[in-house]
Amino acid sequence: MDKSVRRLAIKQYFKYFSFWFGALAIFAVIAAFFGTIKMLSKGANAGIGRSNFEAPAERVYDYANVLEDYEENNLRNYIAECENKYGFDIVLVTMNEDVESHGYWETVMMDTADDFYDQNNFGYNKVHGDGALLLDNWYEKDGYSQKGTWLSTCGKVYHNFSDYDIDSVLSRIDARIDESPYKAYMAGIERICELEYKYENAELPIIPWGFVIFFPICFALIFAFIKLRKNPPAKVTTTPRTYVDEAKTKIIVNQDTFLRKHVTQRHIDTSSGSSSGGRSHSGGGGGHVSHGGVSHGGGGHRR
Amino acid sequence: MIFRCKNCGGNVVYSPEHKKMYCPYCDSLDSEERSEGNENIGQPDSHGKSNFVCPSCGGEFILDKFTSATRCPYCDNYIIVGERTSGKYTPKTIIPFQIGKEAVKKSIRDNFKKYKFAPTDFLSEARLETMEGHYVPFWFYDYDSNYKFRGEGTKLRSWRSGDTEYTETSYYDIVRDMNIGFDAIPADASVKMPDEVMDLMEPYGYEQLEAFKPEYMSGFMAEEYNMESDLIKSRADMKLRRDADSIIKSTYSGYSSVHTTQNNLTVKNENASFGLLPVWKYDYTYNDMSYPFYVNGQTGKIVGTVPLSKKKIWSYAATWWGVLTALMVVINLIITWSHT
Repeated sequence: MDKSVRRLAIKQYFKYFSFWFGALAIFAVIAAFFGTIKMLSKGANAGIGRSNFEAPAERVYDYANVLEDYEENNLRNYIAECENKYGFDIVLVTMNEDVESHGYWETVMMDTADDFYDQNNFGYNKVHGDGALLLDNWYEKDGYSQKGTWLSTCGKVYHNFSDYDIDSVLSRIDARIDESPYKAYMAGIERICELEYKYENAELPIIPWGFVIFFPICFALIFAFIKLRKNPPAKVTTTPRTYVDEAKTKIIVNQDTFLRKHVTQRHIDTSSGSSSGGRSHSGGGGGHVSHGGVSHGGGGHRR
Repeated sequence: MIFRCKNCGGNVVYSPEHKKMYCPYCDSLDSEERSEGNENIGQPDSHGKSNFVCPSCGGEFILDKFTSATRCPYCDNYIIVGERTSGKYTPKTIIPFQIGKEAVKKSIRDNFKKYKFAPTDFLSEARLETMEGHYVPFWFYDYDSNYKFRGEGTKLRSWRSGDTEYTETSYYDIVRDMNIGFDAIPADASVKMPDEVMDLMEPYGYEQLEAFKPEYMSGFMAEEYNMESDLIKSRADMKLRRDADSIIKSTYSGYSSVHTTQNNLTVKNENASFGLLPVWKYDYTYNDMSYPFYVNGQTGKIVGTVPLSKKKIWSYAATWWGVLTALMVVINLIITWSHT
């Protein structure tokens, strides 16, 4: 190719993409800025995470004595790991008490769980801050069972968790509690962390990676196929009268005669439409205010 | 024959801009002097090509079978072959070029600049300069015709009463008898020029048809007719039929459907005459493929398919892919990093 033609082609290329190359450069600079800030703040914030130091260090209160010592330790370690990772307190309380002597099972379980959380000043970020508490009752007398689990949520966990989420955590516990309380609590805690992680990451309105991969490919292919289409050579610009000699053109007979007519009829069906319902999802499941005036969420499963 | 300038002896050409004979060497107008020269067409070979001696410089070159006006490759003068523009080959009429080369170049540039993916040199001056003006031989057919038509037409009317829909169909007998005159339906008589392209060149404005003068050919290429009028008359007949059908159809509008029972087109008188019409031709070659562009030398209508540079298109598509991916990745990084 001739040198000047090649130069012209390159010039046209950069002119065509000037806006996009410019936009990319600006965004890259912004990204570099935030990246630098993130790196610096990571260094400065090393070791800082928990900001409530008024809560006890203990997280596993096995009053019902259903766990072996090593199981309690394993749970403590797992909870400590999760708290660091996800930034909210996780407390496990087992008990063996006749809660129905004080009122309805649900009300007493809820109050007990909320009060335990409040009175111990739990909360990762502040007193009565982010956290979840599992209260498991093992009381049974003369074949009458008050067994069941209550999950109390607070702070960001309360805001994020819907009734459906609470139910899903409790169902995990229900499924394993007869086999091993330890495994059941582990599964419950794991589910709480999993759900909270999902919500926290869902908060970032990033462009889905699948879209990032496929959209540009599709766009480029569609672009290429549109541009590869050939232009039509030209449109026909003559009309039927282009070559007509009007002086020699005239209508001799122009006659439309009515012959006959007939009528058909058709019955029209009228039918009605149908409606459909939807289901929506929102956080804040089982919201209420505890005795201490703290907003909690929660729900229970009775066995 | 050749037209020389009385003032400077240069080759005088017809200038569409001035609508006069023009000497590009001394800028004189209407200063032409016809010089017959010593025309010498040799014996044609099996392809009909002959040796030809330039009446201006004496150079010998090959003359194509039907060429009636050309440019000498040695002295660059425009030569009109007298033998091929006289006798039965004398055109009756001609539309002289109305649009000059510079105007055509501009028009092509304006029309095709939006095609960014044509090869980069498609609109370059060097390439466009190779464009040549051609006078294309055409037969013009006049017809006096009569069209007799009969058909049954239906009209529909529907209304609703309660849960019942009524449809009324009325039937009519349609009769038409019409004389239609056609004036100068063109059909090109050049083997070289593609028929479908020449059809798309239409219409020409016949108000600028003039009696033939060889002066108009100076500065352009031309051919004598390659085919006798009865050989290509069928093409004009098809146009006649097509147009007459449309005209008759337009007289019975308003029917939902028409069933034709009689449909007779008869031609009472017909007449053919030979003339020349102006066409600019830009031959662009890309990747060993020829992309010819034809421009009506009177109206400026352009016919041609723009060549596309696949290399260019795919490299732009790849850039789009890269830019969009990079942009979205960077945006995601900004969202993630600014969040923490």
